[in-house]
Amino acid sequence: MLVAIIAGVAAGCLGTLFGVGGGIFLVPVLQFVVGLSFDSAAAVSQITIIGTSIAVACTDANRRLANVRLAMTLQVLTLAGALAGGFLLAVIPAAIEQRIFGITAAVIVVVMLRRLDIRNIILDVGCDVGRLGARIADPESGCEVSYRVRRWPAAFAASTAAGAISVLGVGGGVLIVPVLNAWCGVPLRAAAATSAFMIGATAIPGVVAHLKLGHLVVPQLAAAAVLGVLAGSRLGIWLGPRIGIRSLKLLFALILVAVAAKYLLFLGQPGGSR
Amino acid sequence: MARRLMQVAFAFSTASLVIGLLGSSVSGHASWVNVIITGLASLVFIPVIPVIGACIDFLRRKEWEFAAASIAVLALLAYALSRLS
Repeated sequence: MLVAIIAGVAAGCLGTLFGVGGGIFLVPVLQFVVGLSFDSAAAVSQITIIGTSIAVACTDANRRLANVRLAMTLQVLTLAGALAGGFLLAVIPAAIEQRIFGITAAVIVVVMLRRLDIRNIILDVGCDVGRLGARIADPESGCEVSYRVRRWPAAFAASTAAGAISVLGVGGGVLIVPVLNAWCGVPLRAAAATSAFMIGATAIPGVVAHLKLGHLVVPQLAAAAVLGVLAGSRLGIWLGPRIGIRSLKLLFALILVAVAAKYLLFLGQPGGSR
Repeated sequence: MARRLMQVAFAFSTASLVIGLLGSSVSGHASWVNVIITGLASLVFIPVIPVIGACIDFLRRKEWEFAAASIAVLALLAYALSRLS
């Protein structure tokens, strides 16, 4: 129980600091330290994602930045992806699920180390932003700026894929945020806020699928992890402006490389099966 | 309105999880697990609230395409949650 709380705090804190979601850290700890099966660990992680999403979405700054029109449009696809992922969960072997989880960890390392943070802003507030664009307050330029959403097919594809992998206990933001920022013209902070608005609802089909398959075996563990993640998220929000992120980022990247290696190279080892 | 409702529901589910976890750790009685399950269940339903809020906003502003998208989202969520029963 204590391990679940500590892992939850660490996952929530790191997830908030780096904006990648804590599930990628929580699932291996619950599987290899606490001794849960991969599916049970993913089920617990999936519930913590809902908690993190609500905690982040409730903040004032996030509400002003979230693009609800874009979120609702993409949400149809993330939910369709999550429902498909929920059905696939029952038929895909655990070894494949863990391999996908390992690949996701590797993708997160690359995304995190090469965080693009393309500005994507238009200083002319009066310009036409289209149906999905928006105007936001930009702290760097100190005024209101605009952005347009481009390359919708990329956003649609990333949203569907993000929904499908979310059933593995990883928040879909890891795919949605970089795609919206790098390819679709959305500023990073707006992309992160929009993703936070979406991932709570996206996690629901996954939670239902895990519950139906009987993966949530110890509710106390889920409660402990959720409370830990909530506390960790607060800690991450407080720590963000106070610590040097660079060295911590490298440490987190090393942990993720180890996680990716464990899931991709050591399948079939004790603790690696369902 | 939706935000206030979300905060109240979030406070309720967090309190249920804390009370259930403490009760379960101290007394070990099985009934505390029900309190935890209530907390987890309410947590799972909370993300539906902002979607309903967004849908009402879109309908008020007559942004029909986004209202349709949010209704589709609600339908998919209803389908997902109905699979629990």
